[in-house]
Amino acid sequence: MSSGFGLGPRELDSVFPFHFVIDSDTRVIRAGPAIQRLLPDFAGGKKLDSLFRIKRPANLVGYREICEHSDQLFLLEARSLDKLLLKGQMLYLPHADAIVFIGAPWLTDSSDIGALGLTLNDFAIHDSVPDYLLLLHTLKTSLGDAQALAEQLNVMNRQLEGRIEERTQEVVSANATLKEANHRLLQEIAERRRAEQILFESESRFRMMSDSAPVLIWMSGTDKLCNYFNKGWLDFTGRTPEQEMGNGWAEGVHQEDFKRCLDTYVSAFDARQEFSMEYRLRRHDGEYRWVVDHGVPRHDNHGIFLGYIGSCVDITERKEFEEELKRSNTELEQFSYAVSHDMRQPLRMISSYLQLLERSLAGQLDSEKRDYFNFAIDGAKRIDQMLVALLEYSRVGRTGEPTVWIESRAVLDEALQFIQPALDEAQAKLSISGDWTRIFASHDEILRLIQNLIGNAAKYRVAGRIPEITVTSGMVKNEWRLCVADNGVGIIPDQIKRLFQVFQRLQSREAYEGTGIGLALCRKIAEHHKGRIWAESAGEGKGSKFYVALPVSREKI
Amino acid sequence: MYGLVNKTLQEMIIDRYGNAKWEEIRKESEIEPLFFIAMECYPDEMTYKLVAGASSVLGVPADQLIRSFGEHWFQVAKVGYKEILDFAGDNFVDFLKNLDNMHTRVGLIFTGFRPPSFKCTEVTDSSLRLHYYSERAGLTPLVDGLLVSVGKHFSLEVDAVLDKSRAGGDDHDEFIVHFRKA
Repeated sequence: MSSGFGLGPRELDSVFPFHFVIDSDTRVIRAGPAIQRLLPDFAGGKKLDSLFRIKRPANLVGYREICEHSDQLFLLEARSLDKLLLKGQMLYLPHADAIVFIGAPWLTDSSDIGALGLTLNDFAIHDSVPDYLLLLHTLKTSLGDAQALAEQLNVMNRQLEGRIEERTQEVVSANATLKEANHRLLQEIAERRRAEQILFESESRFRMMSDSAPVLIWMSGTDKLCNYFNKGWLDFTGRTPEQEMGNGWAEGVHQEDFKRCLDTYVSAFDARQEFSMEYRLRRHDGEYRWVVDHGVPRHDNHGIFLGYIGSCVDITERKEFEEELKRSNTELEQFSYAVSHDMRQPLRMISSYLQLLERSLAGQLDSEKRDYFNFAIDGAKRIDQMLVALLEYSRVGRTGEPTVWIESRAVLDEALQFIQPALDEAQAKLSISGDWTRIFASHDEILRLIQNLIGNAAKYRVAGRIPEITVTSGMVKNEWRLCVADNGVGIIPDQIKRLFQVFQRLQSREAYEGTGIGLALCRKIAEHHKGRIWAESAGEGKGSKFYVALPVSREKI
Repeated sequence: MYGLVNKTLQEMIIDRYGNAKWEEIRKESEIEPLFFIAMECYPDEMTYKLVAGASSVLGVPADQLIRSFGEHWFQVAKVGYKEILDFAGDNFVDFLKNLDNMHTRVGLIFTGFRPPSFKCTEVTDSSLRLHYYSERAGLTPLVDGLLVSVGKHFSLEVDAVLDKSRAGGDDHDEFIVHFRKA
């Protein structure tokens, strides 16, 4: 085979752009285009040693040694171009007694391309260094990608851990809330069970008490319809609960009482007020019996209206007794009136004739007999006064005077006009206080009442002590209350009960003029107005307080 | 298609339209990965779906989107692959001439890359004819955008006219490229 395939200079440049040739004096006598471009001072026969440092093989000096190591890989470091490291082989050319270096740059980082100013055109096409550079750069890019991804994953991981922590906290918090709610629920259930037990016991107690009570008990709901009757009721009417429920009970109410009864119930119910009414209710034997029915509204613990509960008591016997008493009282009053009225005429005769007799015997009577006459005349006068008072007493509630709305203060002022002389005589100090409201009453009777009480306060004074009288008016609940207080003789406590009885006197007639009817009259007036009267005193000589309480309503009296 | 392409497309959309739009496009395209690995090989279908999805969501024709991507691609490469681009050539013509070499060498390194092929003919001081061969359809506008972007890199104004195309029945695309100093 011919050896005539030797490469010419152009072909050598094309396939080995980084080659150079040195002579036996190690001077560079030729270089490839890439070497010439990268190292412009290469030309001019410079010695190899001034251009490159032979890194490998180490410690080579001179042409011969290079020749001897031509079977070794040579690494040449450019002295004038940092980072340019050539890798290749030294080939001895015997026919020219020269050595040719054939190699290419060795790069360890793609950034070296830019640093050295290399381009793809500097390399032979067959050279794999560009591929290696691409691979290096790809590796770098991939590593960068991997790092970026790792960082991204780290960020996402941290976010995820943060979210897990948040969710964990939420779950812990939700668990705690749930546990607390569960605990509360269990407590509520226990409390509800206790409440149910208490309610059950309460209901049982109520039914037992209700059924054993000697009264008729009923209950209604918010719809006004009755939903409960106790055993007493059912025993009384002889009917079943089903018959009585709702409005069934009304069938037993006397026809004459039914409308009044229903009106009272409905109006009280709508106003949520207590009520009391009397009506006749048919007993199991068919007899109508009077009952007093007292109803009160029912509310639960929160004040919510639940309906009514009522109790009835058979008052037939009391009613009959009251009727009898009323009849008897009427007869007694008529008798008293007749007696006192009719007795005044002969009494006046006795008194008149005694006076005539005294005058006609005036010269014949000694002082003792004159005293006898005077005692008899005085006794007759006192009997007359007592009869007048008794007449007045019996007239209370019989005069036919209507009850109207009157101003209590106006009545007081009117009364003071009448008794002013007595107050002046007693040098009494009077003070008036409180609220003086309108009351529904008989004007003349209230006038008389006030007159009597203030008159008594002035009359029953302690000698040598200026009377101090205080008159106070005011409302207490639904009552108008009048108080007349004084600093007079007072009352021995155990005598207070006798005060308001007819002809009862706690003081001697000699010391205090009077008929013994005044306070009895006051009591009768108070009672005629469905009110009360009472007295209080710390004892004898310690003053008194007289109270009158009248209901302020338009109830007919 | 290598992940680098999808990744660059994703970055371009996020840069220009925001994350929410990208998520919308990802859902529209039924693409599962949240991010792409540059040197990982993904099915071509995924890239085509992304382009179709982006075109639908953004209301931009696919050709215009691909052309924009071509320009963007080179701008991204200038940052992340500067040494490689510099290595490919220090002038417009050399760069285009070396394109095929570069793609061939890259194709050797990455199996399954199936790189396109380029050839320059009729080269003058101000023009050349660029032949573009690719196994993939529809990416011609990408080359158009790329040429403009490469021209800018070398401070040139470039006009690329598609003279022959696979869509027109030829076996490859050919651009007549005129360039002058900007």
